[in-house]
Amino acid sequence: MGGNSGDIAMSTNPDDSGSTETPLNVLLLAPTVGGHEDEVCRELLHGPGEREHALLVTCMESPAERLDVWTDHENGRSENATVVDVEAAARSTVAATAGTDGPPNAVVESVDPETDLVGLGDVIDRHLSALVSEGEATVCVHSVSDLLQRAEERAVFKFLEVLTSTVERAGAVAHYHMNPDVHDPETIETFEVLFDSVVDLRTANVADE
Amino acid sequence: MNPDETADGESATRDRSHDGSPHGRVVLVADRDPAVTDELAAVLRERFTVRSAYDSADALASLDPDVSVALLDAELPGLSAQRVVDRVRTDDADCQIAALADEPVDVESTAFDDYLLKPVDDDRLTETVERLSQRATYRTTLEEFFRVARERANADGENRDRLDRRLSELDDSLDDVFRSLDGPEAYDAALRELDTDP
Repeated sequence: MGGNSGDIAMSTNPDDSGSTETPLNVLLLAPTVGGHEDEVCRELLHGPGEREHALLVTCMESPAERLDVWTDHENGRSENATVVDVEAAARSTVAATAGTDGPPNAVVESVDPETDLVGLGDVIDRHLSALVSEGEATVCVHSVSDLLQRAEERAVFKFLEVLTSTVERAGAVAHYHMNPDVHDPETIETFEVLFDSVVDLRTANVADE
Repeated sequence: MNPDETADGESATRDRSHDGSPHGRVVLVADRDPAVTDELAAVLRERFTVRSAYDSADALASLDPDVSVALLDAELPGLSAQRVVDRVRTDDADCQIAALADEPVDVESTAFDDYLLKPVDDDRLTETVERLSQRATYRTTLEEFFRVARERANADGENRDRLDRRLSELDDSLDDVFRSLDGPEAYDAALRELDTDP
């Protein structure tokens, strides 16, 4: 990860015997305050492979906010993105309609509020397959913490095991935001086994404050 | 009670992780027509350990955590799929259930995972049981993966090393089974809630 935001400490999981140079599924532990979450997210999304097709899963933040993180403002490139909006109904209508001013080549799908994790998985799977057929795909899940507001820990854990497996099979890369401030350490340690590596922004040497 | 079960001592040696080998997988067949039950059981016995049941009491008595797939007559008096689920699906064990039916079943609104139309084609029978068995293995292994991950989070030292190794084995098993499932099927096998019946 030779980006200009400095070295990101990647700790590889002890149980990951078949580690590769580029971890496919990364847990991004981003605290509420500081940590340059957006910069690191952008770096993980684009990655070393210059991936151009993004699947952005969002819960509490609006699709426009997530698209803003993905869009490469510096180079002004127009890039493909699909947003799966999990909690559209929970946000205000103002915030929801703000999602329409994203880049013209962005697709936003709002998930029906009644949808369970099986249904959400199907929606993600459909979009991931479509993006992978167009080229190198990259996935951002924002966030595991929000999913844990929706469903119990056991179900979210299983959901993420299936999702990380489908990402790996599709040849995509993905990262998953989780806010360590709102969970006990046991929950973080339980979930970290699902991922190839963990980026902890509480300790990472990302550009000084 | 199960004269049809051929694999002696199966339950004693059963690997809790369900390593996917055909011999650990028990299939229960219960049709209201004994001839149909016998016919299906004969086909399945080539690949699986099979138990036959001829009425609902028989079927319920045959259900234990070793049964990973049950084929049940949708019309068998006194036996609903939900009752079977309540009995056999625990945190440690899973049983995937297909209805033996005379007409198509809307599985979403029932506790059935799939259905087979009678008369049942041999290839379709084997293929369906094979797939349901993979789903059961996936579900069970995933449940153990979560449990061990939870336990590891609270462990340290040698204990943690041991649990890390166990997680690694379970991860490999999950990868193996996952290959045979497509995405939606994997989500469904992993997460489908079955307390939907009234």
